[in-house]
Amino acid sequence: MDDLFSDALRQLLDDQCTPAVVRQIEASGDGAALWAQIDTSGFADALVPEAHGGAGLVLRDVLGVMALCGRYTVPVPVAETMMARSLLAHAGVVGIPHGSITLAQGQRAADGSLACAGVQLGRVADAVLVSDDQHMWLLSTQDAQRTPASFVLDADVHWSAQQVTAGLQLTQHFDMRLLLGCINAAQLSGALLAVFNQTLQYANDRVQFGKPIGKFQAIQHQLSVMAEHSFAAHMAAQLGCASDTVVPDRVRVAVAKARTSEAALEVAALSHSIHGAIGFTHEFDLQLFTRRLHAWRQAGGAESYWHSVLGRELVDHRNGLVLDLIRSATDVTA
Amino acid sequence: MVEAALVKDLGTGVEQLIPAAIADDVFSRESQDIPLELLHTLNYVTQVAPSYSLRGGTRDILRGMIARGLGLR
Repeated sequence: MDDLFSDALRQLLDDQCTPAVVRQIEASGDGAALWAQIDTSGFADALVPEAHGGAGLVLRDVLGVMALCGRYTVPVPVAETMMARSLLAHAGVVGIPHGSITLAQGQRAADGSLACAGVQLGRVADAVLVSDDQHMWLLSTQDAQRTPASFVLDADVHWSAQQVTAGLQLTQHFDMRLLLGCINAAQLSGALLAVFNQTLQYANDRVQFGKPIGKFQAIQHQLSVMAEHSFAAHMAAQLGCASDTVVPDRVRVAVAKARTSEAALEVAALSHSIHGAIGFTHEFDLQLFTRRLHAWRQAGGAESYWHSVLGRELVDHRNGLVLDLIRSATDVTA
Repeated sequence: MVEAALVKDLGTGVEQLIPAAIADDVFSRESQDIPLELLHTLNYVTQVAPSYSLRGGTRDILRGMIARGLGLR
């Protein structure tokens, strides 16, 4: 959050994406008004080349923007649209639609229909950029069959063969899990920091046994562990976005998503513990964040998925040389 | 009483580990064919798991009782 670009977004989110707005969009599933505000500001075109009317930024420039989406629990797909518009522009698509676009890995059935389980923000997105092992499609959610998924703003989405044929088909394909892994790692880093700050504030404010609970050593140690995880996650997310193109590096994303997911679990548990095992009920803002810590830990592959990616890379391609792998993954100038 | 505190603190750890471990397994598979009932149950348990530690004293209270039982206080 240390550049002019993300500072402008922070001000916008401070005004427009309050906890009350997030609650209202979670209840109604209608994020159109907030989306219009953010889209008008141009942030969703950050990764689109300048020749196509975008800001021409690369992935490492937008970590701050994606982290802010986590810090403000933004309930519309800003980071996903940013990525999708960039992929579409690079694929030569002209006249990219104005609406929000989320990303999903799909599977085309024998009858030509397409199903995607647990599409992130699938309940509020206007369209989905879906990839399988061969093609990508940009498909509207308008007439698609959407059913509730585990997180309130996500959805299982199904398009008939006819709807798939009517959509925009691209000859390229992408590993959407890689892109979602990178986005969710960045969003987690912002949400983790927000949860840490809220919990620190609570520990200073809440008086029990005659003093603020933050004066008790047990609480201080728990807050220290939260700080360790939050800052390690922030560095891991930076690594995940360390790319001079719009596409992240697979090994770095593996490190980033595994580490931020690990932190999400620890920080969520510690934050509720310090809040006296409360904070998960509707009226507390904390639950807006910790529900996302769990949802984003799961989205784009949880720890074990990315640990396996790293393990296979180490054994199959790096002769088991751990230090060499760490050096090449963390040397962000390379 | 110390015995109860020992079991309760360990039990809280197990109760909170179970949904975390299931989520890690389920969301690390290539297949997206996860039964909806499992997802909903997992979601519910993940959200209420923090409250499990509350009944019968928070973990910090329990650990204080254990420390007293060990003669440290």
